[in-house]
Amino acid sequence: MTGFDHRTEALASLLQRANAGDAACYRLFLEQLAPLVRGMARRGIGRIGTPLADLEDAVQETLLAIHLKRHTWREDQPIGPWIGAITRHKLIDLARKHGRRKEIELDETFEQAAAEPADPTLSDQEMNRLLESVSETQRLIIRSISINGVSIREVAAKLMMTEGAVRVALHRGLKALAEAYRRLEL
Amino acid sequence: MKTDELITLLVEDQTVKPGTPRLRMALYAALGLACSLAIFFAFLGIRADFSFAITDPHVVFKFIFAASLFAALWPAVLASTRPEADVPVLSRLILPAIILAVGIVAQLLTSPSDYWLSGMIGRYPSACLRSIPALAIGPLAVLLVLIHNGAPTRPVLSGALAGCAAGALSAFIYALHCPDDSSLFVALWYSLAIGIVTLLGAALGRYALKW
Repeated sequence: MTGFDHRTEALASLLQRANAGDAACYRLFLEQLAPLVRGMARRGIGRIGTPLADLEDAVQETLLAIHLKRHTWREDQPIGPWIGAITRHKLIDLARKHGRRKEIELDETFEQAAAEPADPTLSDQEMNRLLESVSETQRLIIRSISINGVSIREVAAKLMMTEGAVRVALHRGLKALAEAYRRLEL
Repeated sequence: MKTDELITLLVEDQTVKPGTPRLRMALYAALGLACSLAIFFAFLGIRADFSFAITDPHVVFKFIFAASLFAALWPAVLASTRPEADVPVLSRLILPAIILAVGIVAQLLTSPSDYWLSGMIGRYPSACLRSIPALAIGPLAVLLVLIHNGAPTRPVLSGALAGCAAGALSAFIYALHCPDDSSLFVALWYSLAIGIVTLLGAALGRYALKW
């Protein structure tokens, strides 16, 4: 178990430093988190019987949810159960979308998850489709930063907006994406 | 969108802190309470004999019961904002239940049995059933916002908790007005009124606490 403990401890210290404003630590946190969430989601999807094709979309929605709810992690609490609870919550949502109405028991824990790299053959297009539902400015900002790797400063100059306004629009756009996914019927 | 691209987005979004700032949350709380007090003073008001009535242990009991229920539920409300936390509901209700039971027994021991039924039905049961839910609307809204701002994973349970806590708070306020002093009245109508708010909270939570 020491390997697992070490893993979650590393995540906890990265998120702690990220919360203190260290962007490089936040990137590392998300990069280490993604394969673990994927591992947990794959096992969960197997258990609840939803299509494997949804795996990468589920991973992205979970990462987005963890991002938008990261203030609910208390630094004096272990991070594994917190990540596990959010991942489970999103997987149960996914199962409901597939019409599994009954109470779903998902006893996968984050600590048991095996890291799994992204499978390039699986679709990751849901976010792109959901992007259609956010405002044009938000969509433009999200596309420029994610796909073209443009910095906020450059986006601001191009759109003739202040950097602060771009940051707010980006944040609102991400919230709108999470909301659109929640309302999405599969 | 590739997951790596999403990660780039999330890293860029770090400057805007998620969740409602504490100051704004405090403002919401003040508004919720102001809403209750406005309804209270517009339609009910403090009972005329309050300074005399408050020396009666049966009147004091109403406040103790309502306050104990709210105090017992508050930690559970906070816990339900965290996705991984256990929300201990039943164990939390033991103390207020004991207080209510003690109040009932004390009432039965101190009043003749001829008065039990009339005391329980009271003079204004329908006012109690209307007022406590009306006074609870503001606090319920605030508690739902507070929980939604967190990451509740059991929306119905969290909504019910918010409703019960808001009901307890408004029962405390209503006790300033309520002219029915039998503890049997409290046991029946206050509980029923708080139960109505609890059900309302559960129903609202089911839709409002998703994320």
